[in-house]
Amino acid sequence: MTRTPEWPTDQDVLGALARGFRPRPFREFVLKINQRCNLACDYCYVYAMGDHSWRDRPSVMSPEVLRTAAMRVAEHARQHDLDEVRVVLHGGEPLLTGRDRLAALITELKGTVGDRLKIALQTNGVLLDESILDLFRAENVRVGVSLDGLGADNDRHRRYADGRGSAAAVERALELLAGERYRAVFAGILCTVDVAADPVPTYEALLRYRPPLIDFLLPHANWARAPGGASDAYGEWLVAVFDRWYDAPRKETRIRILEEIVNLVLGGASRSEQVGLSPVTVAVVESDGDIEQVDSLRSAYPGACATGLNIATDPFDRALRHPGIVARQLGPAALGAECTACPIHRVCGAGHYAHRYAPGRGFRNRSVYCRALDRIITHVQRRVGTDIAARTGRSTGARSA
Amino acid sequence: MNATTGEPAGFANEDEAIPDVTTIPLLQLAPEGDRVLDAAIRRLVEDVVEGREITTGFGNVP
Repeated sequence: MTRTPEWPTDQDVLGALARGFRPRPFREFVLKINQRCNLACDYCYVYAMGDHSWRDRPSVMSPEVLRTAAMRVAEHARQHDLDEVRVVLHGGEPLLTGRDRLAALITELKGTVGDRLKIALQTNGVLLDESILDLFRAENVRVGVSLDGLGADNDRHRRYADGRGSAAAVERALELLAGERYRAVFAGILCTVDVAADPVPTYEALLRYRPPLIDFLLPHANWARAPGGASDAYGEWLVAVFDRWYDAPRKETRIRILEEIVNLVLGGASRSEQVGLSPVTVAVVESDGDIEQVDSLRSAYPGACATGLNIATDPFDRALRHPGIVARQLGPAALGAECTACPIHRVCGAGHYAHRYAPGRGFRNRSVYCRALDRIITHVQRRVGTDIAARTGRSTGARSA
Repeated sequence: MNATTGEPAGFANEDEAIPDVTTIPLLQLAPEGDRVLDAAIRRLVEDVVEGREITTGFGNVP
């Protein structure tokens, strides 16, 4: 079925380039090394939101595709003189690839890309054991694990296909990562927010594993697919976690979305695609070599992340001129009028790109989580502003735009 | 939600209460504490001093 052009597919990229826009090179490459998963989470954007493209791709990335991907990453890093690039091994569930194949794949990537390469892997944790962690420790591969809080809260959504919860297996993996032997490779925990779960106990349950970073993700939703629960509830949830985290006498861990909001409030720039206006510099490579945009866009509509490019024939530079990639590097120019008129738009950035989608209008809209973002951002502004004022002995001025 | 403008309720009123801390020279605060705000100030100062180009990475990995 042919789709009516929506923003940004109807965007005039050549016009943007003529007006002075210069694309930023990719710095992060997500390799879909395994398209299958051993869990069936009910909110998964890969399998549970109507995009079935995974069925038409090889279940495992072949050595040939991996070799070409590594060559393209090295080519891009060289052409743009990048000091560092990161490859994220992702899926599906990347550990279904198996330890030996993972070892070969890491060797291939390192041998081709060289010293500027950093490797990370994101897993559901079910298959993470000592033998794999020893490999990651030897190869300095940092690993992130997904867990949605306390056991019962996690198991409400993160289940095997037969309905069993995954928490027990994931907690065993996290116990390993929390220990001294593997702490150096522990990147952190991803936790999708469920407003039915108590926020502070959820945070404290994750904190038990001493993660260097927690990221609380808002469940993927858009203007055609409403969030599960009122947007207000997500704001209150994040406020409760923020106060618990911010008021601790010592910083216990990093919480990415909150850390980036604090940074933006202080005048800095965001490293998270959930807030702020920093250029997104991520490319995804599917198991068949297709170059795609960030795959969470699948939650908007089937094929939303496609570029029509493939590493067999196309360098990554060609993707830098794709309207969807350009749109995510335009900063405030990518926002709609209702957002640019908003006093907190520089901090909010209209939220996660996938959450802006509306059928017929595309991605140039405020976030479906607009109220939640307003609640947490204005709360952080007040808390931080009050503390800075107390430290400087100044009264704080009012932000006008 | 404001039924007329579609904006979140209370935007106009809340604006008056939001402090703008971006005009304060954070380097002068020289934070040495262990709290979240201390670490945030140090990180931002480092970003500026090092001239780091900040871009956004993939959201589905820590």
